[in-house]
Amino acid sequence: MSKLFSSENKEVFLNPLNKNNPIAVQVLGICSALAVTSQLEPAIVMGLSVTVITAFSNVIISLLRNTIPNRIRIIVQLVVVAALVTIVSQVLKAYSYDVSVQLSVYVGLIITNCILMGRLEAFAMQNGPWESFLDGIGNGLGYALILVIVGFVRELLGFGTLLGFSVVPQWLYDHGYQNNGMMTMPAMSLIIVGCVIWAHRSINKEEK
Amino acid sequence: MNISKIKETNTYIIIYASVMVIIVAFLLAFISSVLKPTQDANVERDKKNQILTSLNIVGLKGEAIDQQYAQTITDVQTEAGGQVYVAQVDGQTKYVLPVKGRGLWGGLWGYISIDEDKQHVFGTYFDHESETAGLGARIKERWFQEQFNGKPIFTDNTQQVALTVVKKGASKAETEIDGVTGATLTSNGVAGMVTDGLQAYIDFLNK
Repeated sequence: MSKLFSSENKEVFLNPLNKNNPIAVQVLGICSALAVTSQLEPAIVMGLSVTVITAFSNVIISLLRNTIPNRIRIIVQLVVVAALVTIVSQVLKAYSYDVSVQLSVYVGLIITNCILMGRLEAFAMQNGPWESFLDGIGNGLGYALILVIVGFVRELLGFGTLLGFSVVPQWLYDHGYQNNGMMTMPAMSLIIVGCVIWAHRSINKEEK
Repeated sequence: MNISKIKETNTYIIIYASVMVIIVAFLLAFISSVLKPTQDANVERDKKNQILTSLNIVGLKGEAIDQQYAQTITDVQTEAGGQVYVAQVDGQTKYVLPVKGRGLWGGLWGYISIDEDKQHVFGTYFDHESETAGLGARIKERWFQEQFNGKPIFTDNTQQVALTVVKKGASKAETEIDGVTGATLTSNGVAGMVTDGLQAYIDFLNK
């Protein structure tokens, strides 16, 4: 057991959450970060789905890594990811219909998320299944973290709600406060992601 | 030859790719056929729930939807514009008219229930295929749909449906409903769906 949670493995898991965050540092998966973050709830569910799928595709590719011919490795990776995404969306449709209706578009979008292919290519092709699993979970959560931050800011300022509950008190509206409609536009999430990256880099400056 | 050499031969690659594709195809086909009946039942039940929602009967889950639907919907008629569901709500007759339209990214659909006099909206339900979350997708939320409740379908000309959706805050007449902020194109889509959709039933509405 001690080997499973060795300091290197801890590193593998924790690095993507902060120092090597897929969005803030590697700037991957930006497109979906723009599309699903206008409210908090889809951002959370999207983050979790990506975490699950990255983890399992990492494990599968890691198990197969010694048999995959080099020249078609990208295709093999793509098939694994696409199959997993299809299975997840089918299972959701059968056993959790409401969630699947809410997510239908996003689940399909996971296939095109660069973080998945990036981790498969950069990590799972060289490492064992357990490390790959941790790496997938870490990267998925690192991605989810940024999505939640952006979703939080956009929903709070754009709609005055969080997870659908009103949090901006009525007396503020009575005194002339208005929700910022700009926050609901996809362009604003790009600016917020930019601010997050800025803050993140100035905190981690010395570690360059 | 060692394994890393064999791995790069054309024969190995072709066999590898074929086997992989066949396995994945069988796996997906198997999962799909196993889950199909459950999924179809969900879709069917969801449709019933949508119709009930348009009659302002909300918050039901699972079996309760089927029971409530069987009690509420007494008949399905085929009229000029399409199907009409005849419902009994609290002893009053209501008609549910399915409508379809186009949003910004994909299809829209919905159900509009009207009073027996065919002059006023009783309730609505709208849904969408792929509108933007948090913007156009909000037409699915009850606050938007409930704006239609009790609104007249016509002004004075009973040949022309007047009910429509306009930019938020710009509604003047009783037949103009507030759209969703930041989702003008989706709101326009709903406007087209409601106006044209009801217009298609004009013979039924004037009967």
